[in-house]
Amino acid sequence: MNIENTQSQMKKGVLEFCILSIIRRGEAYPSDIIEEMKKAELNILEGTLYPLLTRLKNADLLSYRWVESPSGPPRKYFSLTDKGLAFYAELEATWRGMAGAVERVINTEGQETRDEGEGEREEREGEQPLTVNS
Amino acid sequence: MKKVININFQGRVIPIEEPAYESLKKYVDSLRNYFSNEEGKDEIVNDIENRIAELFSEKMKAGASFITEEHVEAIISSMGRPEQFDELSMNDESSSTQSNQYQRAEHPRGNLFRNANDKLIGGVCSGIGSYFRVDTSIIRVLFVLLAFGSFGFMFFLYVILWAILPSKYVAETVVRRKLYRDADHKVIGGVLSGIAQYFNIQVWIPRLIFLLPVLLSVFKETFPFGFPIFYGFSGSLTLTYIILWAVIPKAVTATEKMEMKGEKIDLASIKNKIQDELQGVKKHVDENKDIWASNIKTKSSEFAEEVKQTTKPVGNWFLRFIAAVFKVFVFFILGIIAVTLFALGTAIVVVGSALMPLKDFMVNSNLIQLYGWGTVLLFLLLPIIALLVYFFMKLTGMKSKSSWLGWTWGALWTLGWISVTMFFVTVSKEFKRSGQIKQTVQLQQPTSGKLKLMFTERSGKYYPIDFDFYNDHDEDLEGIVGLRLSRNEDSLLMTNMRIRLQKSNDDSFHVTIIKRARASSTADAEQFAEQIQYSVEQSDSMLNLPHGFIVDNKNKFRNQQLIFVVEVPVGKEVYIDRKVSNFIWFNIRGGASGLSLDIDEDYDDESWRPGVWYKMTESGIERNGDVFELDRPDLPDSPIDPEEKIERLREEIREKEKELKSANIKFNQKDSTMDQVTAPPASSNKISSAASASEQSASNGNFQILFRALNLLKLAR
Repeated sequence: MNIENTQSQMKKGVLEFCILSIIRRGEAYPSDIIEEMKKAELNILEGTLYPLLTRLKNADLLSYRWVESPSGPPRKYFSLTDKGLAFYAELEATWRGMAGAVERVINTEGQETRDEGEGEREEREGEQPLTVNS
Repeated sequence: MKKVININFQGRVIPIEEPAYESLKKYVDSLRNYFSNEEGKDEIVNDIENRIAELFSEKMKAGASFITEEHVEAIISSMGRPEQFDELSMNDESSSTQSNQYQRAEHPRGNLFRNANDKLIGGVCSGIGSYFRVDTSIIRVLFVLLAFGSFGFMFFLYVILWAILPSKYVAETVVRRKLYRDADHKVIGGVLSGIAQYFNIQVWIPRLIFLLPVLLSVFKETFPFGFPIFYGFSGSLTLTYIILWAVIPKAVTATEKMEMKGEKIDLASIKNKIQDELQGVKKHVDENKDIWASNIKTKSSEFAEEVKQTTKPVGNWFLRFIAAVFKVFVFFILGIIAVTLFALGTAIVVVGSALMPLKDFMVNSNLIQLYGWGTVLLFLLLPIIALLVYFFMKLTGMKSKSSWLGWTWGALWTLGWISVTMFFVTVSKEFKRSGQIKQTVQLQQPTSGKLKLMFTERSGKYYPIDFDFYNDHDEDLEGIVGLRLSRNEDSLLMTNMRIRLQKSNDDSFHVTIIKRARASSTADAEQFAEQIQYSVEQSDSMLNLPHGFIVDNKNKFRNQQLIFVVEVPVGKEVYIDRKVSNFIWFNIRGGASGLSLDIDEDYDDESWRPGVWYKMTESGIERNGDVFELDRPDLPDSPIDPEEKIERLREEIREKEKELKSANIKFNQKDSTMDQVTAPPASSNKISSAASASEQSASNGNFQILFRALNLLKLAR
């Protein structure tokens, strides 16, 4: 079990969601997507983006149209299909639920080590959502 | 100074430096490989290419007049190499367990994988190459050499490794150094100096190794071929040199020159690496025993998957598996064919060099000589060399950059075909017409009314033409078709003789010698026939005939034959020496359809047998009783003294020995293709047939190799 592997697994999981989210905001060109990801400090390689987009397109989640470019060959601009929108909505719900759950787990462990109390753990877990939301 | 070329990239003309183009091409190929299992791989690669093209145009807009290596490097690192994709690969569980994994090139010590990026069959060799960081070509060449040396053991090892090693995409084989030809320090082609660079040794060492046999053979007095290149080891080294010259690329660019000198490789570093490796493996085994056990099942299905992917055509699993096995099989068969052809070529060269002394007897014009050399070099040797080069290139994954090599082969081989045709046309013309002359021998009528034909060995040393390089016991060898050469190779002893018994028209013995030869015209043929030197001695009833006749190299070899006609009057007796069974009869005929050769190595005239007295009657000859002459000591006119009798008994013993020996040889060769090669001569005379069979089997050793090779070819087909 090495750290890189785990890290990349984690990254993998959210990447698709992030990309769909960027495209949802409006038609996007792959290098725009890269730029935006960079800004959010989620660096990915262009080389990995293309296969991902193709896969999403083949799954009918994305569609694209050709746009003439002033420099170089025509570009593909991607947008979400209806199916893609539904897919995104579901992912978003999952993400929100999971992000909360993960936060809760992390914070519980942190408090547990500080308190060194075992019996109270279950009660605290119940209280946790409040602290996260606030 | 770098060459700038224009490429059509995504519909745009891009000026690009050649090395930059090479690395771009490599990169795109590595992408194509990486995505080869992906649905829509063409689209993905196309998208990436499109983006690269866009980046190129941006660079050009920014003022670059052409694309440089730095540009390409920058673009590649922003796009990412396939080895960096893995972390973000969106493959789900099932596909990530497939072969789409990737071994990082910078990984300090990877495990042994098959390299899926660079493979001929299963990528085993290139996997080993990248593991030891050695040029894949070298591993492949070693593997093939060992495969032929170990009679297929390595082949099975390959299949086993294919089955047990996991497949990985190794983007670039990291090689410490590569084998190039060093053009800066060349004498001929820079091959040896390149080798010296590779092994980090002084350049004179490989040069000496290559030159030594050549030098040695120069000091030898005789070249069997008049051409030291064919002399044993030096010949094969020369051949090796030519092949290496053809297949090793020349170091041109700075990078290639760097790679040529590269990191030091010596035995110590390899040994260290292996030791490290073994310890690592041991640890690894201890740690992973359980995991492996559970992995076996997955692995086997992975392997099946891999075998599937080896062959593209759609079909069910089983068909694909068969196809993969077939592919390996085809490679194997091709290898066998190559080896067979090589053996065939060697056999031809061996037989040819044995026949070489006969050259002077055949050739009477420079034209034939020219055609002969053309046949040997261009028709026989060229395809063998070409095939070896082809295999070497296939193995090393090298591709000839231009088609000139193919054209040259083709043109030279066409010349070879012309040579071989012209050779046979001109030679067969020399054997087109037959001519004969008759010569009557002045004979004193024997007082006893009996004539005894005895054969005496020719004085002077004559040696059989040695075809059998592996056989030392050639004292009883008659050589091919009974030709023997004098020591200085200027005259030929032929036993192309026959004896004919006829009824005499009067009451006296007559002996006529018919001399025959062939040539392009009847007149020439008669002239050749006339030059046959043959003389007979008589002492009363004994007629001493030389065993064989002489043709010297001024007279040429033109299928000379000698027929000895003995006319026996009715009531008189005749005896023919047993040595007559050593005579060999052959006929070379030339004509529109080319040359034909019939050999009758076994002297068998149906009407009489040697070593027996015959009496001429009105209806023909009749055997004089059923007993051998030596059992009839009471014959008045041929008294046998005890010494002669002993001599005869000795001869009989010798004959029996021969018979035994030949029976032995036959027994030993029962499994071989001997039976197909030479049908055993049908004869009523067992002794003579056995004797000649033994000669045949020994002298035809090399023909056997040839025919075995042909049989192998047939099998392979």
